[in-house]
Amino acid sequence: MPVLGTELKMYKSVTVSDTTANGGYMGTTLVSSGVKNNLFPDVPEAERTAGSVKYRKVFLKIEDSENLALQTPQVFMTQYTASTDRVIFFVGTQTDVQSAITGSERKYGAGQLAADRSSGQTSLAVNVEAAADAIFQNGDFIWISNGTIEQKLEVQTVSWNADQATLTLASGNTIGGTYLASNTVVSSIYSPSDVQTSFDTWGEVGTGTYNESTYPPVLSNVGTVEDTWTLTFTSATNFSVSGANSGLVGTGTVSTDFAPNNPSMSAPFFTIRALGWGGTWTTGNTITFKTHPAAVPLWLRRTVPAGASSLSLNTFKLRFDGASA
Amino acid sequence: MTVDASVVVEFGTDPQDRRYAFSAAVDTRDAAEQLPVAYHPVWFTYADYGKEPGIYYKEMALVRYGYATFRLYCPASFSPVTVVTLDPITETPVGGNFTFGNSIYWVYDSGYSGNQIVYLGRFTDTITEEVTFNNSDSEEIKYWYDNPTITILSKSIFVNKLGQTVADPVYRGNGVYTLSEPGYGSLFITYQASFFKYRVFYHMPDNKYYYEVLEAENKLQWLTNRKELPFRDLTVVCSYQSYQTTISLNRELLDWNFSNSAGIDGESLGEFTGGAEKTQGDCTVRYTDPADATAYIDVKYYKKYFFKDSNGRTLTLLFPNCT
Repeated sequence: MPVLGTELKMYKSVTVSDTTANGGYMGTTLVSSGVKNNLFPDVPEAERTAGSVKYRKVFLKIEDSENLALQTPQVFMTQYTASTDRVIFFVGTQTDVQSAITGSERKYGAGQLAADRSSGQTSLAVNVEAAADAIFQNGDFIWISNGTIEQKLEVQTVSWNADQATLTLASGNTIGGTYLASNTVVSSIYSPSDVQTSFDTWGEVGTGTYNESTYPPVLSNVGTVEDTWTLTFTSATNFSVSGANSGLVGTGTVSTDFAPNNPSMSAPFFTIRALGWGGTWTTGNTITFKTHPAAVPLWLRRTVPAGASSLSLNTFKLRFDGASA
Repeated sequence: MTVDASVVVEFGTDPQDRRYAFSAAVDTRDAAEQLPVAYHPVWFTYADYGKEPGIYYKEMALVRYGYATFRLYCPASFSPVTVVTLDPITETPVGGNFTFGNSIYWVYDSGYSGNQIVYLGRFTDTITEEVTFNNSDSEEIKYWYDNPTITILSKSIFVNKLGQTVADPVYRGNGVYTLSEPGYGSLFITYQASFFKYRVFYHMPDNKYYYEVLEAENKLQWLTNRKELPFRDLTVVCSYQSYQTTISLNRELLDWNFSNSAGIDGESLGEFTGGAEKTQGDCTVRYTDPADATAYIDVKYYKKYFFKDSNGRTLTLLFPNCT
């Protein structure tokens, strides 16, 4: 069975705050779509008067039980905030925290079509909330939708006039329908590489062997997390495993498959196959490796200008597209 | 196979620590917005209750019901607002064995319910307002929900607690002015504010009742101040979710005094100084076609008043359906 839409999830980072420590690893708290304050808090009057910038880190995760990869994934905003505040997103890492944000990151967002467009046209103007964010750039792929029809197009060049970007489409890309400025959203698309679990940085210190090429750790879209694992032998056949972030996750033996459980997800962090072991291990020997989850880390930045207008239910939408086998 | 999912992220920039305006005010911009209840007063009798002094009654014969118009200042998104009127509370006069109080009961009688409330729409008007900083660093205008464009008509200097001049307040949008530090001073501003407008058509007791002067009672201090009770203000309650406000509409009475207006045949009537006679019960008047004496119509009246003015002339008032 292919990856299902219901298996695309958004998780908060383990630390959610307005401090420099905000962000970090993927946490276990789901962002439930359409729930007020599911990610950003309300803006109190004093904050709205004075203005603010807040960041939240999220992970778009594939929780496919068959551990399939999400191919040609795309992330983009399908609705920008109605109030005078604005939200953009940019790419994070699996572990970075707010203090690592430099401000020069490539930003993605959405704007409003500035003038009606019809079939066959090869350029479009888009009003954005802040040109300084430069959410459209040369070579971008964009998403355009009036709520009924939608397209993804490649942009060749972008020119700016104040907060309006004029996008000239790449050769072979044309507007394929009628889009009214009044109801058409245009957004820039972030296209990460295929989303799937992986491991790397395999290292063995000791007299034994493990054939990670033939018997690589079996990873789980549900249970695998970002971590650096150390497997330490406590005898010739027994070992314990701890993660730099997860801590001790269990003990195993070379005679059976070892699959430490991720209690938050009820799925293994990984599985070390018994067939992979070789040679003779001794106490103190170690194997280290890193695992990476099937998740795309993103930072969302909310900017509330000083004196921003109020809105009781402010909303933006983030969409996650892809294909699977 | 393609797959997609969307996540909707929601939050508010409208915290509950700041409430919208929700206030009602009588619309006085145009005189036509208010139409007083019109009646003509009739002194019709006095009674002698044995040992008690004479009691004068003033009957109110209703000429028209009248209406009032009021504004409800609140955001346009407050819809629908519930608007209801509260009937005047029936009160029982105190006074022990005050036996002739039946007339007083009349004025508290039912018949006030059924006021019609008509929503006239959303309107905009110019507001002038003073924004005063009194040892504060932030002030907001009354009706900020439209995020209006504000024009400063006049302003004072602004000083801090030490009396040192500080920069003028900065407008932060959404009706908020801020000073760089707590201070004193004021702005006189103008802006446009929108509001809902409602009109309340009074439902008065049908074809009656009695507006009592009760002068005699007052003299006896039996029912002091009760003379205003018959037409107490009509209370209107407006509510929307956690917001509620009330407004009192003064059902102003217009004295439709025939004696001071052009009367029958355009002839001015004199003062009614001699009291009046009243005929209780039914009476029927036949109106005959002047061209055909056999054609007529009988109109049954239920009350008939005879008045004599100081000139000795008689005014007859006939009230159908007046029991």
